[in-house]
Amino acid sequence: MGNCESRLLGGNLELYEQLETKLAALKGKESALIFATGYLTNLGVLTALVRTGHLARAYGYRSPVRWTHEYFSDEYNHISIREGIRASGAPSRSYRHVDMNDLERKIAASTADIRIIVTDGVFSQHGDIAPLPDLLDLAERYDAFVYVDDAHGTGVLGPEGRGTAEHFGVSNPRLIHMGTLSKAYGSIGGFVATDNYVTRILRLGCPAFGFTSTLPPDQAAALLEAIDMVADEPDRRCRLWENQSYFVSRMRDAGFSLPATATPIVPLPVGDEAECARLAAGLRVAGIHVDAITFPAMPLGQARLRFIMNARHTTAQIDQALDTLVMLIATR
Amino acid sequence: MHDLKVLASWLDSNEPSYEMLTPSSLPDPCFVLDGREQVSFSTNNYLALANSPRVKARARGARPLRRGQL
Repeated sequence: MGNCESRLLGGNLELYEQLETKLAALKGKESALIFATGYLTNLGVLTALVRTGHLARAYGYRSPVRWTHEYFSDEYNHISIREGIRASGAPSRSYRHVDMNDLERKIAASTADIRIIVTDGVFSQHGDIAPLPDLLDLAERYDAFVYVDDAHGTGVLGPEGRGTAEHFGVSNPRLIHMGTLSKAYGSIGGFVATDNYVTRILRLGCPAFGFTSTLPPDQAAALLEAIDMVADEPDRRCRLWENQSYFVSRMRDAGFSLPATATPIVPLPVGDEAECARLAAGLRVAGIHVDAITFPAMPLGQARLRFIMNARHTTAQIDQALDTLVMLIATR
Repeated sequence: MHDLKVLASWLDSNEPSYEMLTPSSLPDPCFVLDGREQVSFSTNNYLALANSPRVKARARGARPLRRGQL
């Protein structure tokens, strides 16, 4: 069942290369690399991107220049990004959530030769979308790169479900796409899609790619099918968005104020941790499972119920979730 | 690992409350928890592809095929 070899040492099936070709085309890039999980992708790639010169020393490479690097990371980025940046050892600065002024201030003050802005495409706890065109504009002006973790955008956003970049209609050589294969695509794994010269170097210089087992072959095959299905069964995405807008409009009609309504992740701010837990428990009794996002995933006092909409929710199920929520709040 | 022993004994009396669900089926988006059906509003299986017959059939048919055989 498993692939008991590393990619570099005998475990490189055709199947994986087909998947990488498909993912590269999906993101409009020259090539892609797959990893065992999304977490490992961020950890491995962010660690390796700034250490390629050092890693290539083993092959006899001597860098003509001692390049310096700096990461700029949205404060709400996923933990795997924060851990990857920390493990890289490169200097890094965190900027306030989607705050382009704060980012510009920090990037303008940087003396690094190579600047890499890192952002989630869709923020998993907040349900909002990173302003990719603004980030790319900053990247152009300050000669930076943008690494976008599109875990929740891939398969979901954009006219063809290609992700956050397609949602905005942007494509840019400064853009490095990362995504997961364990969310909309329903399997396991992660990937980066970028230029040939980058993947070529990562293939050799990123230990998280070359020195570990990758996806089991059946999962890689399942993914080839899943990616096709996002394209050739557009009805699934239609229903997802219909359900999302039905839920959002019913929530608004019920008087709830929603901070983010642009993605299938629709959080309802509750505030108090205990109250949030009470609502989640009450919904559970009614057969509705919703995550209560509390400290430490959110700051104390900013607890929220996070609704994630699904293509196969029925109107009756959405109604039941909402009616139960309204009833629970009324009987506080 | 003395630090872990100290921390583990602290946890004995200060365990933060958290819940790790152990459902008996995975959400598409309905799943079974403690013998009861729940509708998930928390799954990342946005398009319900994880459990679709097409995807499962493709996975079952996977073999390390030579180029051009898929």
